[in-house]
Amino acid sequence: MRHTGLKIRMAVVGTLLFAFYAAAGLVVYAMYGEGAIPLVLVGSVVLIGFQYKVGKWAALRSVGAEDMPESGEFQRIHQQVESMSRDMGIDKPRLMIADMGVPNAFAVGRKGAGTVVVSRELLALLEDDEVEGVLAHELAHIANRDVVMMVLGQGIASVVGLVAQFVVLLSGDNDLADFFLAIIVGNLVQFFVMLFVLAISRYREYVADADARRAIGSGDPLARALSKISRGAEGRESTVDEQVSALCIFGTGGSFLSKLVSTHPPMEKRIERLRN
Amino acid sequence: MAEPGLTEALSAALGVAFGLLMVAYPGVVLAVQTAGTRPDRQPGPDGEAPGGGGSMETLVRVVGVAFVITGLYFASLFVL
Repeated sequence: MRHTGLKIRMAVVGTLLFAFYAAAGLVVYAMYGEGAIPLVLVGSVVLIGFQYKVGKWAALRSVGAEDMPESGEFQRIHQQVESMSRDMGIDKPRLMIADMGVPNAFAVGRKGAGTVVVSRELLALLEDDEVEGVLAHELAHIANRDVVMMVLGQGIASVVGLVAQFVVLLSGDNDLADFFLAIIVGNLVQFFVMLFVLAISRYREYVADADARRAIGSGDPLARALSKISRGAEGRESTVDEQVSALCIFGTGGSFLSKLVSTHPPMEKRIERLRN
Repeated sequence: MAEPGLTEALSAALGVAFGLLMVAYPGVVLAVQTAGTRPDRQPGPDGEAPGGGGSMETLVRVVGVAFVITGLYFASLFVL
């Protein structure tokens, strides 16, 4: 059975997220009756849809992604992606390229409407087989619906946080203390729910690595790519806009808290798994 | 003004604590808020949340300072 570990983890985290969401729904029901439930459901769908659309647009816009030409120096990449997409059973995603100042790649969208963005720095840094490994990893994210799952998880965390916020706000005397406490509680509740979403996200990275290894027949090219990306990004300044600069460059230190909320596991562990 | 109660006490404690978290670890707060909606964010080599400066982190720190000040205001209601 493929990805048994992932399925078990998804069942556990999915149940927990549903429980949080159901609890939020029950609180709304208790406070306002059944008439408010459709509002929560519609609001959830609108919020998650908005996050999905805006997230995709913002990610592409913030790095200034452009369509990757199908001819010339990029022809080989298009052929590789087409072949791997066929093997993974997904439509070939839109390929884009961007100047990010650091070696980087990411996937947005869903199966049938996916987009993979690679930075020029990544293409300059890596050998052809290493680029193929990175592309296979990003295609695996699309095939496994990782982007959609993350947006869904973030959406549920937001909804539960919002409900907690309104419960505190509306159960008080509507003074400054209630307003302030509502904001804090909403953020803390969202933070707590996100810990589960981020834990599963880190595991999904390992699964995407494993799928990439299967797609290209070896884990070594992706392991070498990750090692180079890790070294290549250290100490380099991103040239993309300030917000993305804050987001893409390699941090220093890495506290326990920081690792707890990361979407990715440590690079070292990923490389080790790919080589074993 | 009415005597401060549980709401004020929670506002003081949680406000200061969350504010300090925002000031000390703005990258952590950003990571939680943008996970899933900003896939261009990349973690560090040890898997830590992305960070390293920028206007967004400054904004988070400013809001954190505001939370700490507001929390201290509610704490002051118990001693003044």
